[in-house]
Amino acid sequence: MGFELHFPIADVSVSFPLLMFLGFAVGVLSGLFGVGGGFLMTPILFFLGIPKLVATSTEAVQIAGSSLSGVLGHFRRKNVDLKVGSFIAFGGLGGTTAGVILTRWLRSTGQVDTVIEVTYVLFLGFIGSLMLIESLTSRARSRSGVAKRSHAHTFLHRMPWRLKFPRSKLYMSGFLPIGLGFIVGILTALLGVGGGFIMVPAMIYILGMPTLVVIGTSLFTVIFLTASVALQQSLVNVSVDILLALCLMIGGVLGAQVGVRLASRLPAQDLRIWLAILVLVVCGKLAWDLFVFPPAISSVEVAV
Amino acid sequence: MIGRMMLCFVVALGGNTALAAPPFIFNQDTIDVTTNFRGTNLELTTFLDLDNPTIQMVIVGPRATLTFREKERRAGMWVNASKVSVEDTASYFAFIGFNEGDLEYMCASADLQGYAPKTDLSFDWVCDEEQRSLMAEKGLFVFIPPGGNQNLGRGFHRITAFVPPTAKPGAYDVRLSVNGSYADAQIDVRRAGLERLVLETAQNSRLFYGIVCLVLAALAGYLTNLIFSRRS
Repeated sequence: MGFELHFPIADVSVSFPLLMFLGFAVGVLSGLFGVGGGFLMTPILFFLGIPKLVATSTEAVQIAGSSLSGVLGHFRRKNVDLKVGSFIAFGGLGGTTAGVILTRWLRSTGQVDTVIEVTYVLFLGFIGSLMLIESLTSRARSRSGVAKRSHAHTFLHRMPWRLKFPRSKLYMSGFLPIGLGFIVGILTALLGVGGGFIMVPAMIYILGMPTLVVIGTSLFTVIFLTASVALQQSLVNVSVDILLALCLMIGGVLGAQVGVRLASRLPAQDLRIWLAILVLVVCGKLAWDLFVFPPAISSVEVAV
Repeated sequence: MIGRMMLCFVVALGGNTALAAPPFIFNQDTIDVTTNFRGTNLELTTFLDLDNPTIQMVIVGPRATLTFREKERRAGMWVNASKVSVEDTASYFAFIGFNEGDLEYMCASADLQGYAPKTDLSFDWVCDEEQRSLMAEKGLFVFIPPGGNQNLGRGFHRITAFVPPTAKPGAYDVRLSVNGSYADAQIDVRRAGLERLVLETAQNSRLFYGIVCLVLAALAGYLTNLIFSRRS
């Protein structure tokens, strides 16, 4: 379809207009719903034939750029908790390093594609179902006027090394944000996602951060996580395609701005249900390839 | 262009000629793989003052390691189960003007090397039907039966082989045979322009490449914020 570009690291030719359109479409969704969009864009890159490791590594570059664009506005409004963010980013650096080592080992065993696919199926299935349930219940709640439950204190809050986090008015163990960053960091390296959809609910419901600073702090940490993945994947696996990243950034950035403008005019709650369905459809396609009928039983890799 | 074609002509005449060499020219002596490269037709034109000549051509790509993988169903999932690695083999193999039976015969008699211009490489995958079809899917195995060449009239003949965008860079050795006589030549496939710059930087200066990727991402993010925050 149209003018094709050959991407040197991916070693695949993809239609440039199609790639821009898909980048734009995912950008619109990310602007509309305030999500990073990596969890949709990366599987789309798989479907376009981009090698899975290249897709996940390159998507990390795009997310780093779009997160920086988003966090600057939050900085101006002072909606970033730098102390909590730094703790999460610190844990995230460990997590991304572990994730990159894991992908390197999986690549040597020839199982990297399968593990990425399995993780995506689990992850998209979980996120899609959660989004669908959350959208349906919040719609019902807004109609009935029942208030949302705030976070509860668990054993996690009694962990040692308790510190004050003044911006979020929290007194909690430093291990909590570091642990959260570590887990999200592994997912970022493995799946090429920012991890905001895990980080944001975890910050609200587990750490108990005020909603006002959650989005800005999440974006702040995502920059470090994705930058760490991009740099390490370049060093270890040579799997970042700069030309592909540029195409995704252009399409994604423009789409996100359109999405942000559309958000105020469209019924977001109803659209969120459709986004959840879209996520589940993508999950279904990956599950079909993994469990029922893979696109190819045999494959060949040529290394000069 | 004419100069390049003449050069090719001379190269062909001066090539490895065990028997009388048929003169030939290529439409290109170097194939540049750029970011908008969609594959190219490598065209060889030859003049033959013969009635119904048997024209055959073999093109062998640069040395590579091929890894063939096969999925098996384990615990309900399709996972890569078996792996066969073939080292020191050809990354591309075009076989033009031969019959299916010729290939079977050559493989059975282990005589494929005798027809190919590179004898130090293994062509085992060419003789394995499944491996061959996987390479054909990637455009890295080309088979054109007799009659695939174009008779241009007045003794001129043209043979065409497609070189896909997945073709690996390096020297491609070509052997043209006419009624048992043959001549060899070489075509260069190389990365060029931005494609080359990106690939070489990514492979040889990994840290610098990673930093450039991040700087570009940061620049894109900053500029977007600057433009759209001013507009809103």
